[in-house]
Amino acid sequence: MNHHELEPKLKERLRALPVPPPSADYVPRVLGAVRQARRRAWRPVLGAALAASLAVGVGIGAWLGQRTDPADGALSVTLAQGVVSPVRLVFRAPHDLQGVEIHLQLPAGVELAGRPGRSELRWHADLQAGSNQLELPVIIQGGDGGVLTASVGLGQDRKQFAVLVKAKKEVSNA
Amino acid sequence: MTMLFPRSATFDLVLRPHLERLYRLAFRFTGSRGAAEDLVQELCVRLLPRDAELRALEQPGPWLARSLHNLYVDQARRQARYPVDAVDELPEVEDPTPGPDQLTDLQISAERIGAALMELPAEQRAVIAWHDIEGYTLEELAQSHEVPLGTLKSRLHRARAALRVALKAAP
Repeated sequence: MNHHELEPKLKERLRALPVPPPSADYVPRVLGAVRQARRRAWRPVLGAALAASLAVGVGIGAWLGQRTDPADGALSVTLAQGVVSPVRLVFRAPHDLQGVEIHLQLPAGVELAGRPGRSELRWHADLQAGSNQLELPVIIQGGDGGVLTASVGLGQDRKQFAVLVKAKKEVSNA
Repeated sequence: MTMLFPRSATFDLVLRPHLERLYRLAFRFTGSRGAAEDLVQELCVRLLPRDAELRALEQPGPWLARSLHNLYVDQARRQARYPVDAVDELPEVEDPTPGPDQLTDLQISAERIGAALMELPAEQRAVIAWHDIEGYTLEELAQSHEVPLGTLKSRLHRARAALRVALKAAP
């Protein structure tokens, strides 16, 4: 008798043992705990001179023909539809800033590659004194584009910036 | 210029596709939904300082699964206060418990199998979960867990023997 192998029927039953689905809030709860842990780790740093710390400037542009829109003075960028295009935001910080929250709000029909269906993203990062570049893999899935807002926050202080993302018009040869 | 990498967003992005599988594996280990969810959550929080290491992996799944296993075994050891794999290095011996034919004659319910599994020490339950339930080969496990193949074979053999005993004893 071969005791080295588990008999197929028992193995079959082991594999058929049910696994109940996780709680409905399982994924957000786990990821929320991660974010909370990250914030806890930064708490001592955040205690220092917040208002002065948030003297963050932002430059959005200088790549891909990004420019100031003459109509309303807003920053704008024109991208081809359905193509991933890097849009680079440059945050300039007067000195090192730790635990800065970056929040992105994307207009309808605009997504970041790898994050389908997400119109809002929020994460934390450390800024170093000087220029800090954030490259966003933007893709216009449909529509004419819209306003992408990026905000930088530290504690209660927050600065928001907007850039107009326009879909490039198809040129007809007719 | 400093490259401003969206660290936590990427950390989320790397973790998210694996959470369901990690939960499933954690449930195999713990036998409880709540304990499985807590185990995965604890793992993810503990991995936070290692996000760069995690992001650098081409296939983080096996690394995450091994980390989950290590955390589970560590927790079980702390709770049990005795080494769970003390028998690992013992030589294989003929198993005196009922053999396959006898077992398959039994009408073993899922509940009974689940209960018997939960009676096993953590390390034995884990090796059955990995190999007999989730389908990993011993070679894969030896490589990913960095455990000698012979040790794993011995561990599996004893885990199965213990499962047979537990099944026979179960009401």
